[in-house]
Amino acid sequence: MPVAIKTNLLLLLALLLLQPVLCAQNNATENADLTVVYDISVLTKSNKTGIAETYNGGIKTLMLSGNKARLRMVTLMRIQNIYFYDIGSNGQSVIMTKESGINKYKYQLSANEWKQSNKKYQDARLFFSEEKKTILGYPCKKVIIQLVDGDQVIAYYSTQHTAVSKLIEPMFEKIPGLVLRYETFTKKGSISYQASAIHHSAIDELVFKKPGSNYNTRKIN
Amino acid sequence: MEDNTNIFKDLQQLRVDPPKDFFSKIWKKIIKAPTSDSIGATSFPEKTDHEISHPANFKGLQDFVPAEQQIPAFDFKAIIQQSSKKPADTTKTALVMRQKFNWRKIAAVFLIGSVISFLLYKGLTGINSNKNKSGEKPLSILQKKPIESTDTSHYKKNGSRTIKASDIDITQTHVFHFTKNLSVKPEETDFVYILTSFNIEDAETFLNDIEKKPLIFLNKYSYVNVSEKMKEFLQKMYATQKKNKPTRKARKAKAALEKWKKTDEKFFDPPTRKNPFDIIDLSELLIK
Repeated sequence: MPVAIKTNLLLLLALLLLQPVLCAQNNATENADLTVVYDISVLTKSNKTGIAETYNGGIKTLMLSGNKARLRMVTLMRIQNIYFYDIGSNGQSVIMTKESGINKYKYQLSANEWKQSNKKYQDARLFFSEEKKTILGYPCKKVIIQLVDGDQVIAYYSTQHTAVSKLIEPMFEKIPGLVLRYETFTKKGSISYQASAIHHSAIDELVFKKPGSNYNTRKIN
Repeated sequence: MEDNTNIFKDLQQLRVDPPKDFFSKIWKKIIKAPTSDSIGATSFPEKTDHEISHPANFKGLQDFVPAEQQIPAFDFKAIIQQSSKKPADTTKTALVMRQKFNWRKIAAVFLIGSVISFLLYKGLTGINSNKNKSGEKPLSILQKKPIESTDTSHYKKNGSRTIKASDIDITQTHVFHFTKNLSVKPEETDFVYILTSFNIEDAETFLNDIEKKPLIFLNKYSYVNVSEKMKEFLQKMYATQKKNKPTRKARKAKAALEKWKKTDEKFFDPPTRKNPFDIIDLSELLIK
């Protein structure tokens, strides 16, 4: 076989091999799935080790795909999930699960019940500030969320990212961007969540699969 | 008594010369002994002892060089022939090499391989996922150091591939690599339970592991960074006295951890409506 034909065949083979890679790249660009990992940091003024250390160093992950979302918290004390289904529709629902330990449980909440659970944020006042912070290379603006009972949450949000649904993060309902850091302070210490990774990798449908019979169904007040 | 003081001086200066031609005669006898015909018959000069030198035969041996050590005669033609032979040989080898390996093919395969691996690498490391939504500015999170003390390397490593349920849900994980040298059964999904269940040897391994890398994990997407305070607490919890019995402080620490667990369950587990994801609810438990 002449060398020229061989070379052409090799090039053709290379193109065939490259096709899936190129297609995958296009898919990745178009992929709307979002994953944000937040690192949890709990600082206390006490020198003694307390329960706070069992949450310090944990992570919270937000996974979003289409009209489904999942929040997952992994700490020494517990692994917990919140699943959100049919976001934006009338039938939107929320399932909370505890994934760790022997007594795994789940309970379902309707959109209204979920709203009731988060009513403390409904009348919260927002104070936007000119102060900025760069998180993961994104300039983030500061906003103070003042709750009616006096509690305060300071958040930093990026306007380069679309805000997540208010169903997922009711506290950030009125913030025009994706919150990449939020923190609260008391006299005894502080808790902060800061994004350590954002990516748009495709998320398998099974990640959002409704928790099955291996979880005991529990009821809340 | 005789005066003998100068006797040694005289002895010192005493000299008795050998008879004339004494050494010549000795030499003649030596020469005559082995080959009386050849050597002895040769012209042995009648010389004084001081004039004796090597015989002519030995002089000839001084210049003797064995045949194998002799330098060959300078042959220009032979040199030219040898030098002209060498390039001919290498050309032959090169031709054989060319026949064996088709360098063009190899170069093409190498080039294609390089391109594929480059594109695969770029694809896998999420060149697109690094862009922000507007696509204006590349995001460098994959190269960035983890924020504060938290290790997010698992996410960074898996940044662009599809996130599977088995990477996340611990119920679908077969073995938990708790630390570098410790694995736990998949049934054990409770960190507190695992942390309080080590035997002395496992505890030692665990404490050594978290000393080197303060990270414990159940699967790729379920991990916790152990804070300095917590590390000290765990070291205290596994402190032993004689006969490997836990110290009083160790027992107290273990009891404290179990107590915190109960407090946490009471605070967040149903029927209460408290939500551990809610920063205000969490602060109420931890820092109020």
